[in-house]
Amino acid sequence: MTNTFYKKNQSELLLEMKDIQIDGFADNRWHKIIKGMNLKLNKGEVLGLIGESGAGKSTMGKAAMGYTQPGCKLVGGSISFDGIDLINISDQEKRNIWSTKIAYVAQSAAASFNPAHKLIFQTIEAAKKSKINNEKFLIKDAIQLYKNLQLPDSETIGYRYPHQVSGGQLQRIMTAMAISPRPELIIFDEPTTALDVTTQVEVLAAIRDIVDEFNTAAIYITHDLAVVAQMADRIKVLQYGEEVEEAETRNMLSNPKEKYTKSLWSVRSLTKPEEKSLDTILSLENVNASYGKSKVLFNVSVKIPKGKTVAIVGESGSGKTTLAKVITGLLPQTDGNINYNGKTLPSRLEKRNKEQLRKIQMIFQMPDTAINPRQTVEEIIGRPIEFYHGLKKDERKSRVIELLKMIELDENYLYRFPLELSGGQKQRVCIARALAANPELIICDEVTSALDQIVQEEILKLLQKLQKELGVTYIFITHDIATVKAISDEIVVMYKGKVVEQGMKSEILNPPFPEYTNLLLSSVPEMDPNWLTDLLNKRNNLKYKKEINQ
Amino acid sequence: MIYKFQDLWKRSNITFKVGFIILFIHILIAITGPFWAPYHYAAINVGEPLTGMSWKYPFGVDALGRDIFSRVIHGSWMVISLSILGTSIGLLVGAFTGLFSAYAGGWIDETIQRINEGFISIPFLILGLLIILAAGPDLSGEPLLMSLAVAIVYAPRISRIARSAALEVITKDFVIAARLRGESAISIIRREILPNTYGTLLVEFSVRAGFAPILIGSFGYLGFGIRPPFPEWGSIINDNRMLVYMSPITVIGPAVALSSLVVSLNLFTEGLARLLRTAKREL
Repeated sequence: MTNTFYKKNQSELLLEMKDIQIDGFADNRWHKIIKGMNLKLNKGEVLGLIGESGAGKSTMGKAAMGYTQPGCKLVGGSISFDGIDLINISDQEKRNIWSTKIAYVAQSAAASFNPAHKLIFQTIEAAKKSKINNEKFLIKDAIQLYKNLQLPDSETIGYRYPHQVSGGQLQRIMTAMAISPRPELIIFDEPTTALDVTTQVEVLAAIRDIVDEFNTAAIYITHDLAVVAQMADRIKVLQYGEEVEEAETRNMLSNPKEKYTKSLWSVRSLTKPEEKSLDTILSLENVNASYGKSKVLFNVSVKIPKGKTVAIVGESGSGKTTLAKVITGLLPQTDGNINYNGKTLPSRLEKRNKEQLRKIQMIFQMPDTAINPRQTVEEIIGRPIEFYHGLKKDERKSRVIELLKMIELDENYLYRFPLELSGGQKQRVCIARALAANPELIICDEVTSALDQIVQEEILKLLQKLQKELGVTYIFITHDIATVKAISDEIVVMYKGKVVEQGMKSEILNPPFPEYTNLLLSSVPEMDPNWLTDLLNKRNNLKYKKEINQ
Repeated sequence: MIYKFQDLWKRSNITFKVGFIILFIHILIAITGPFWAPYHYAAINVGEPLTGMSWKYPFGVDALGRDIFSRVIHGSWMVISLSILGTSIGLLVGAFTGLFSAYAGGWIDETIQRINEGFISIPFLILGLLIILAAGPDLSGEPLLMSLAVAIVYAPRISRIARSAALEVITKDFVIAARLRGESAISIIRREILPNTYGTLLVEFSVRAGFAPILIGSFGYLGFGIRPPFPEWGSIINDNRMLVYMSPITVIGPAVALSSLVVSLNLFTEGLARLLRTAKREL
């Protein structure tokens, strides 16, 4: 670990995978997913596996347990864990090893718990089954683990059901579950990807401490470079099932050798100078909204400048998406006004006319569900053209081709179905569909969060280019500060349904910060391997000072 | 989703193959049968009554001297086409009400679903017989009435399935995108929701179609079927019910015809559903 104060014993070999080859079944035939990869891990060492989706990180991580998921098979190579050949042992022996020596922490903790059992019994299940100790002892131990992981109410939280705790807490409890039998190896498969940045910091810190304390070896799988920089001793970069390069963390960050690695590293460098605009295209005045009886927006007032990009940031549950729903009319506000170009917009979607609807378009978070899988690209993009502008057949088709060119695709894509497109291409099609209406304002709801980093950058660049050409205004809803830095002119910070502050990018991102903005901004991981340690020290000092002052 | 037939055949399972072959024979007989059947279905005294099974009269001869084999063949097209017609009407009505109900939500959804439940709570056969009775003596015995009864029995059941399939689609963002565009309800149902429920509806159709011949046969058996002397299979079985001890083949023949049709439809359906599942998984 990068921040250890003592030297750990990292010389003993724990896991050795040689020439691993894994095939996966799709389209009626077997494809190579992992094409002969080697992996070595010493005791107490943390190895980061990074790469884009489809690079084979998860498959490789699971293979380290001697496991392949259904639809995959191990066709070659050897796995030796602590001297045991994991491929040629019986299933029973494998299960014994899994329950005591190797643990796996999945990406979505919420989906990995049994909703019918209390958390603490699930935490100690593996250790209890393998008779490591009696139940009383294990429960005590689990509570201690909860404390180490800084879970609130650590004495009693285990007696709740999975739905009674938050996502971040579940993720930590899952880590406790993995640690409970004191395994020698833990595989973390994107354990913080589904969490907010503010929660992510806590989970990362907790995982790191606990891995340190018990000298556990770990494989940390993620697509977030900044995260892996905090966690790993060594980093291995994967692409298309092959190793690109492997090096010690600091070397890798400061001096990546391969071109692909360099491109991964450069993604976060996208920036844009902010510009001020005096015209307001859309303004919300004291808007309140609620789902049934629970209120979600409190007196929200926001001004959106014409032709510019406003980023709305905040963690999940802060009301960002609700704000988008109110603007589009999907969720009518309970009171307050929405003015568009100086005129009041009807609050209900059904009351707005075609022209009003045309001017505000939306791009969604998940490109997979945002386009109809049964329609071709031509139908998807062509429908708004036909609907708003009445163009038919050839006229429609030539306009679709025009739009395809704008999003840097060509007419070969006209008759493709969404299944034949990659994630980035799908999102491009969504952008084209929004543009097809000739809108003045586009609401982008987390449009890059489901995409890989390199694709994210391409989409952001495309959006910037389109803004320059067409002068559209963007409302950019996101929780990713890197995206905000890259694309926005103004920023609105939201927290618990209220606007914390609104201002130009330079004002918001530079001190002095209101307390919440500070927490949010400081929680965004940076590439510096010392970042997490420094941050935690700073926060602890602050807490200490506060306590003294009180 | 569109495969060449050969490709489909190669990928298909044994269930699908067996079902398809038997069904194919049935359809072939239904279409060509009336042209090569040995006798007219109403021709009496073509053979010695109650002589049982023979090469000349494979299904025997009934009390009036009619050749049962010819009768079964002549009845075939009617059974199959009425089943398909009835199921199709049921599917159309059911799919429309189900999708609309799901999309509209609120009290419209509640009302449609409660009406559906009212229908579903009455057993298949009793509901069917009630419909035939309600049509009155002039209309009962009309072939189309059988289809209508099948359709009314099926529509609420299909409606529920269509609704649940639609509810899954409705939450997707592309439906929200269509709403934001300002599309009408009908357009959203037709363009966005319906195409995404085809798979479910197709399976539902074939399952229901597989049971329809039994329902129509039951009407005939109970004496509510197509007006005699038309040889509807259920009524042939009913006619010869009393002969079952003397010449069992006269009942077994049409019964085997009916059951093989139902079994083939079910195997075909099951195979098709499995085929669609694998296709879906691979996509």
